[in-house]
Amino acid sequence: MKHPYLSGLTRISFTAAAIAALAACASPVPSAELTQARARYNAASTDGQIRQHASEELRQANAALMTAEQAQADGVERPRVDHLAYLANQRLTLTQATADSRALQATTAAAGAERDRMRLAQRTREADAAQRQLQAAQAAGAQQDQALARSDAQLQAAQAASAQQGQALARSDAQVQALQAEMAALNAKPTERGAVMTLGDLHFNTGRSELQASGARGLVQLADFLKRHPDQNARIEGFTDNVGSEASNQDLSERRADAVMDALRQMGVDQRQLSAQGRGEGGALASNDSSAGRQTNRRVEVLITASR
Amino acid sequence: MTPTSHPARTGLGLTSGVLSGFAALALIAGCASTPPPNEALAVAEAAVQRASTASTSESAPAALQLAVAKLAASRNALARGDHASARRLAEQATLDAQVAEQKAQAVRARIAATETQAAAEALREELNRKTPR
Repeated sequence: MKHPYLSGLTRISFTAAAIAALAACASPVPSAELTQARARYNAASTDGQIRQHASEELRQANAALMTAEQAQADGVERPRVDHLAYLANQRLTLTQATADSRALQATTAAAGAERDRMRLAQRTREADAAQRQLQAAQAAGAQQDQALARSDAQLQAAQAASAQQGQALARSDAQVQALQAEMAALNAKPTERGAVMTLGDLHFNTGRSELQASGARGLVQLADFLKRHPDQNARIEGFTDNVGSEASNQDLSERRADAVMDALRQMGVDQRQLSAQGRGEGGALASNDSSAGRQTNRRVEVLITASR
Repeated sequence: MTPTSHPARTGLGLTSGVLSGFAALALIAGCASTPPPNEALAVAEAAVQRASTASTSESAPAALQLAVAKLAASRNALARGDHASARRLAEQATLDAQVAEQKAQAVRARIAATETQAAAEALREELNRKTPR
């Protein structure tokens, strides 16, 4: 029981139904969503930021896009192609957002690094400034130290000079004191005119100018003093009382003064240190009315003075 | 027009018709329903849950809302027995959730970059004022 024609017809009709079913799924018009995804991918694939920051996401978008395009080429039904195209589009959105995010994070990191660098630079400048201030302070301190050292040296020099002066003064004092002591030993009395040593009348014979031995002994110390102190001069003055004529008294006083000077010269005293003069009746120390007064007035004075 | 409605057919014709019918059904089934997309739905739920943070809902509210809505639509489709739609919606919800997350992150990164750049600029200006002195 064969009905080839009918059977063939039936097969044809069924096949047509199957093709119709296929045609219902596939679409001759390309998916608008897929077209958009392709355009977006083409743009994204040349975006430097995306290539740098979201290459893996871009690769996944490409895979999704190719799946969708393959489905469309295979005639897969429109809802599924649109779905796959939607997924590709979302992959591209994800790619863009990822690239944005990572680029911004890089910007943040760079800005943070820049801020750190500026802070570091600032701290370095501050540290340098502090170092310079320290060095300046140290230099100033060194200068002060030097100034102090100079002051010290000046002070020490001044002190040394002062000490030298003090020593000189001390030496002068000592010399003066020694001189005074020696003069005291000579029985020289300090007066306004200088130290005065008096040789009394008893050392001369009455009315005569010759010096007695006792007087000569008193002159030994004076001669010794004058020889040891060439800067000291002896001014020898003779005095008498008012007994006798004034002329004879003047003469006697001169001769007695000369006698003393001769004695000193003979003892080795330099003549240039010596001078003599007679003062006669003048310069009485006491009244000539009494014997004791007259004896006091008869004398030879030696005035010891520093030479000029 | 179905193969069984044809009254006059031979064994071979019947066989051929049945086979053709199966083929057509198979083709139709190919563009219609599939097994329930349980795994895809689970993935979508996880992705949406992961994206559903305060930060994302603040920075990318529209994108997150899209993912949430697609996930709900996917569940509805599954409940209707429209497995194909449920799978597509689940797959889209998954990717939408990822997009929402990434968009929110980009927004936060933009804010951070702006703030950091502003801070660096402020510091630069401060230093420029200081330096001449």
